[in-house]
Amino acid sequence: MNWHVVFDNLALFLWGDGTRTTGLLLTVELFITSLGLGLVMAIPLSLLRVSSNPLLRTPVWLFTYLFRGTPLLVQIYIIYFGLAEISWIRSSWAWTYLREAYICAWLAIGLNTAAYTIEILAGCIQKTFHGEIEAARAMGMSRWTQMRHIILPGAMRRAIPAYSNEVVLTLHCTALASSITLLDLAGVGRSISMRYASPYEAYIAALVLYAVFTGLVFLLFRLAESKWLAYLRPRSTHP
Amino acid sequence: MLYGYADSILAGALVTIKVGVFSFAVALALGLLVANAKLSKHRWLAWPATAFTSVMRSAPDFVWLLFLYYGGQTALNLLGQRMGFQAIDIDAFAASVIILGVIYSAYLAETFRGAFLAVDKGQAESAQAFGFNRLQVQMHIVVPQMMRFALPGISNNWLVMLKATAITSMVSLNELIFLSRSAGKATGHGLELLIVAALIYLLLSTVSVVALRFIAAHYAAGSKEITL
Amino acid sequence: MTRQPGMAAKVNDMSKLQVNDLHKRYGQHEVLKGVSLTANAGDVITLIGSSGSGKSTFLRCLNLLEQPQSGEIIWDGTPIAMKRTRDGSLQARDARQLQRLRTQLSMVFQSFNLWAHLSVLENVIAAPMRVQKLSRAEATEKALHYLNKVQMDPARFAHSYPSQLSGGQQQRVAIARALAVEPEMILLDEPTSALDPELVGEVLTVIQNLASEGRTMIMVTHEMSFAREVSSQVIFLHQGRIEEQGAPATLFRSPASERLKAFLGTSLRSPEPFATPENKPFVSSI
Repeated sequence: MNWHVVFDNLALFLWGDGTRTTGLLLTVELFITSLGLGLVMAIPLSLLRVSSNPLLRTPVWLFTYLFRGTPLLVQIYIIYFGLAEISWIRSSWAWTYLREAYICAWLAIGLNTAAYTIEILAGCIQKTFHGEIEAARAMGMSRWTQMRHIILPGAMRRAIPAYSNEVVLTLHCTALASSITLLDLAGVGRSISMRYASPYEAYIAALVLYAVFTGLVFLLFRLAESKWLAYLRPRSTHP
Repeated sequence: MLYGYADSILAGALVTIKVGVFSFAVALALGLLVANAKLSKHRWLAWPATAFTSVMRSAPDFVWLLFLYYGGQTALNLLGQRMGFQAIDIDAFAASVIILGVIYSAYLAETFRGAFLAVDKGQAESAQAFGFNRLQVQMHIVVPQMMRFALPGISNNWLVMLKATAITSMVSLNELIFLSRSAGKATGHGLELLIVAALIYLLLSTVSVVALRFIAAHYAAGSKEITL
Repeated sequence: MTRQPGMAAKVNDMSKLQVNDLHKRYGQHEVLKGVSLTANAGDVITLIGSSGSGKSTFLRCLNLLEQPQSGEIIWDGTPIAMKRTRDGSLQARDARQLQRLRTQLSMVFQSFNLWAHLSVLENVIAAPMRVQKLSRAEATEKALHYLNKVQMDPARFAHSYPSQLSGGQQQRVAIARALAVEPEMILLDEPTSALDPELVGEVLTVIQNLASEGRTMIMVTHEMSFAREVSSQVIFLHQGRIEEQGAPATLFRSPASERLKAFLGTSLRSPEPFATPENKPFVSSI
C-alpha cells in the first residue's frame, strides 16, 4: 500500500492548500456553522411547535415533516442545482450567495438539523414536569418568563443525550457536501482516491480523521452531561 | 408525464424500496447477531463485536460506502488479474445492499443490546425454573419482550435507512435520485424532478410511520404504554 | 435406585428430597456453610432467618437456579448428576434430568415473575405445553382448574395481563402457574414480602389451603405466625448454617439458641394466631 499518497497530501486532508480551506478544517467549519443555524432556528421554533395555537404550530410541523421525511442529499441537490433553475432567484441579491457550494451545503445541512432539533426540543418541552410549571405560575411569573427561565432551560438540559446523537449525525451528514464539489474531508478522500487510483489509503485516512473528531465530540458531550445533568445523577448514600 | 421520464423515475423508486428493504433485512439479522455477541460472557466474542459497532459508528455512512465499494472493486480487480481473468464488476445493487446492511447493523446492534438489557432478569429466571431450555427461554420469553423495547429504535433506524439509500446514487446505482438527476440534466427541468423524487420519499416515510404504529401497538400488548 | 461410586450411605429411601452438606460461595464470601435438609412427602418446611442468613440462596440451590460449590441433591432417591465447571461450582450434568427435576419441583418467586407479555391463561399453560408437551386443550383444562383453586376466576381474568392485576392477584396467578405443572413439591421464596400488607392475607390463605391438602412445600418467609401455624418443621438459618430446627410449637414457644431468641424478639411480626382479616373465611378481593 502506498501511504505516500496520504502523507504527501496531508495538508489537504487536514486544513487546506494555502488558497482555500479543505479537508478536516472545512468539515469542522461546515459542521459548526450548520449546527449554529440549526440551533438558532430550533430554539424559537420549538416553542412555536408546542403552541396551543394551530396557526403557529402547523407551519413549523410542516417544516419538520418535509425536512425529516426526505433525504439530505435531495435537499442539497434542490438548493444547489434546483434553485439555479429559477430565473428570479438568479437575478436576485441572494444569488451571489446561493451560487456558492459552501452556502448551499450550509443551508441544507442547517435546515435539516434544525428540523430534527425542533422535534427533540419540542418533545423535551412537553415532558416538563407539570409541578414545575404550576409552581412558576403560583409565583406570578408570566407565560413568557416561565418559558425563558423554567421550561426552556429544563428542556434543553433534558435534550442533551438525544441532541448529542443528532450532533454526531450532523457531523457525518457534512460528508454529503462532497457531492456538490466541496473539498471537505470526504471530498478530499474521493479526490485523492480517484487521482491516484488508491481508494484504500485515501479513504482510510478520511475514516480515521472522522473517527478521531467524532470521538472528540463524544467526549465533549460526556463533559457537558456531567456538568449540566449532574442534578439527575443518583444521590450517593451517606457512608 | 414528467417529460417522458415517468417510467424511469418509477423504476428508480422501486429500486430504492428494494435496496431499503433488503439492506434493512441484512442489518436486522447481522445486528441481532452482533448484539448477542456484545452481551456474551466470552470475551473473544464481545470484544470484536464492540470494536465493530464503535468503529462503524464513528464515520459517515457515505465514506464507508465509498471505501468498501471502491476498495472492494479494486480488490476484486487485483484478484482477477492474479487469477488471469478479466476485471470482475461488482453489481452495484448487491454491493449497496450488503454494504448498507453492514453499516447499519452497527446501529441496530446498539438498539438490540439496549433492548435485551431492558428485559427484567426475573422473566428468564422463572422460565428456567419451570424447565424451559435455553432456546425456549430466548424464543418464548426474552425475544418477544425485547422486541417491545427495541421497536422505537428499529423504527427510527428504518426511517434513517430509507433515506440513506440516497447515497447509493453516488456509486451510480439506478435508484430514485440517480435517475431523477439524470432526467433533470437531460430535460433541463431538474428542480421539478428533484421535487418529485422528494415527494416520493415523503410518501414512503409517511407510509412507514403509519405501518410502524400498527406494529408497535401489537407488541405493546401487556404493557401500560405505547411509545414510538 | 442407581448408586454411583462415592455416594453417601445416608440416603433415606422414603424421602422426597434429601440435601446433604450444601456449600455456596459468592467470590470470597461463603453464604452457605454446609446445610442439609430432608423433606418427606406432605412436609411443610419453613426457612426463617435474618437477611444474609442464606435462606433464599439455599432454596434457589434446590432447583439449581444457583450453583453450589459442593453438596448433594437427591430427589426421589436418585442423586442429581453434577459436573464441576471452570469456576469451581457444580452444574447439573444431565439436562434432561434437570428439566424433569424442575417440573416436579416448581417455584413461586418473591417478585412473582409472571411473563409480562403473556395473559394470565397463557402464563399458566406455558410450562405444561412447552415443557411437559401437553396439548393446548389439556393444558387449558388444568389451568382453569388451578386458577379457580387460587380464587382467580378465569371468566374475569383469563385474558388479563399481569400489569393489570394487583400484587396479590399476580402472586395467586403465579401459584396457579406453579400448580399447573402438577409438581411433587413447591418451593416458595418469600411469596408475600413484595406485597402491600392488606394483600398478604389472600395469598397466605391460598398457601394454607395447599398445606392442608397435603402438598409438600418448602417456604422461605418472614411471616412468623404463618410459619408457626402451618409448617410441620421450621429451620432457623444463621450466617449460612442451621442454628436450630424442629417442630414449630417448640421452636417458637421455647427457642433453645440465643440467636433464635434474639431473632424472634426483634422480628416485626409476633407469633399471633394466624387469621384472615376479621377472622372470616377467605373471599377474593375486588
